[in-house]
Amino acid sequence: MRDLFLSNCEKNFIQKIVSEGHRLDGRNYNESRKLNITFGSDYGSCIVTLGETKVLAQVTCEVVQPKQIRPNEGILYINVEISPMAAPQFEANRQTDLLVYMNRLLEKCYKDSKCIDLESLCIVVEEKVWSIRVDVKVINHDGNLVECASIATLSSLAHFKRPDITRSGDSVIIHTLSEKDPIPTVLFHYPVCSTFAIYNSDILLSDPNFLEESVCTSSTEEESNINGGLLVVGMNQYKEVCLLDLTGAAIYNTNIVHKAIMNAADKCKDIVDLVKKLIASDDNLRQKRVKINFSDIITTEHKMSLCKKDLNIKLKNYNVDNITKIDDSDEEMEKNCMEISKYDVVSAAIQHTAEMFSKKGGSKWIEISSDSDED
Amino acid sequence: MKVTIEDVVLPSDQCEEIVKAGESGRVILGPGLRKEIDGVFIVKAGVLKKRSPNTYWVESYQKRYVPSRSENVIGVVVQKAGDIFRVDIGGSCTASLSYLSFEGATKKNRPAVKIGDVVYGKMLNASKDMEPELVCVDSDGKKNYMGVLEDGFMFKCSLNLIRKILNPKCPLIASLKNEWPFEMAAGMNGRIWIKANSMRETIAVGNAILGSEYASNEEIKSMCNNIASILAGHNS
Repeated sequence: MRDLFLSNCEKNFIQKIVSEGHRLDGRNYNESRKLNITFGSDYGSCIVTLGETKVLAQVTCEVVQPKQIRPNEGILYINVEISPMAAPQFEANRQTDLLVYMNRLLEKCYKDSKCIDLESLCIVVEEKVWSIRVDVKVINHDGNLVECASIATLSSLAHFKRPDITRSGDSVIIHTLSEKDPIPTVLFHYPVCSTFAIYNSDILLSDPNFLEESVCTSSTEEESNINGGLLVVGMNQYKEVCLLDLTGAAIYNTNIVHKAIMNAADKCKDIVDLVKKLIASDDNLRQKRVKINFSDIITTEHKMSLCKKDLNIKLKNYNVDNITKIDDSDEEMEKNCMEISKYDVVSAAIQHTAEMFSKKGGSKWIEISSDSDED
Repeated sequence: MKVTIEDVVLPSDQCEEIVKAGESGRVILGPGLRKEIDGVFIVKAGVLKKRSPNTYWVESYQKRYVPSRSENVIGVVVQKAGDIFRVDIGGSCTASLSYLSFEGATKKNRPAVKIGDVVYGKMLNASKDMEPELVCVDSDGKKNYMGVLEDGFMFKCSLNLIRKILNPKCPLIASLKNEWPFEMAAGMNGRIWIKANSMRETIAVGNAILGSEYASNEEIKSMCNNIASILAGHNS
């Protein structure tokens, strides 16, 4: 993976602006970006967007032999993929630290917290069990991949239904979806990860975007930023902590973890409620045989809303809808434009090409050389 | 499919109009068009544009920069290697910038450029098979606004937005400069550097620039007014 290089001015600006109590996109410290979950036509496929970050998750199942030590339990397998589509600095088919880190976090959050009833996935003890595989693909990377991927994993797992089976003696029949209604996966609880960026060892930013994430983990030239880091808190809807992970600097202040957990508890509950609600309404629609697929995401308004409402750089009170309201002052403004600017602003962006200067005869070197030629 | 000027085009579309124009005189094919034996093909998705008398190109949404000669770009110094700096300009590979190509720089008097600095320069050389080369002086040896950009903030945007705000017909800079003082440098590689008196004003400039990407001229004017009033309301 090519390292993405941050300029000093970006680092300093973000540091300064965060310590002044603002964020680049006008959010408050504990405000998240807009979350959107869409389900695909298959069971267990969904796209989750968190601001500009976008993750696709797909759950599949197959019948395999169980592990020797756990003969009566199914298998859960989570696989994360990051391609150059997510961000240009990633390379295809290459294991990166981020990928391994995300894979491990998701496994901790969903496998080790025992949220899935693996015993219900057993078909014949020691012979056949269901193996459930979650493929998480990062489509766009704009920070907070862990949270987005965990929501995608959770909603696809909760949405997934495996085919029904009947056992008659030694043989096992797997029914197709048209023969028998499929069975949903049993989830004991719904864990969700949420990420916090720590600045100056006492400021917590929830749902950091890519720039905030990379600034708080990188060090500035004076090494003054050893106090930044990323804290991932995994929690379920009963406000139980399933996962705690810190990258970056050590925390000197225990209050900050406490604050993060309190913060995450409310957030996770809201997210889980949303996931449950969406799955219920999706189920309803499917029973009415309404066609559901990802094409619902693409609307003309969607394109505009992405570009206009979720600006990366935004003032706190800025609202797109206000723009059209003050059209009556247009004529007045045009007069203003004709006036000379109050401030002496020079546009440094005018294209000065070499040809333009040679036309003006600006370069003295050329003139001298041409003189000497004549001599 | 046959297409005409101002159509929305897709790769593999063909334009006969250009071929006809080519029979009577010279034609310049811009980005997104390619000449093959049996006609002119479109190789990018976008809108086919024409500029009289004979220039054709496809206008498409793009974020990745392809270096091209004599364009002004903004880059980040990523490495010092002997007497050149390696500058990340968002292209497929880094550009090289000699320490001698700054105003007043000599072998003894080296410019103060650190790793991580943002430089505004001009592409001197951008051939397909070689490392692009950047300079921070014009042909007179003057810096001409180029060089290291101090402080401020740099952000990335699409290449289309850069072209839009640099267009003389775009009212964005004209209406912004009446509201509050700021400095700005726009690189054709999709990076904009801005600096204003306060953090809030800097953000406001960035907000206005990004907000103008899909806005019409009238909307841009009212948006600038709107932002200025937010800024004034909060300051007072």
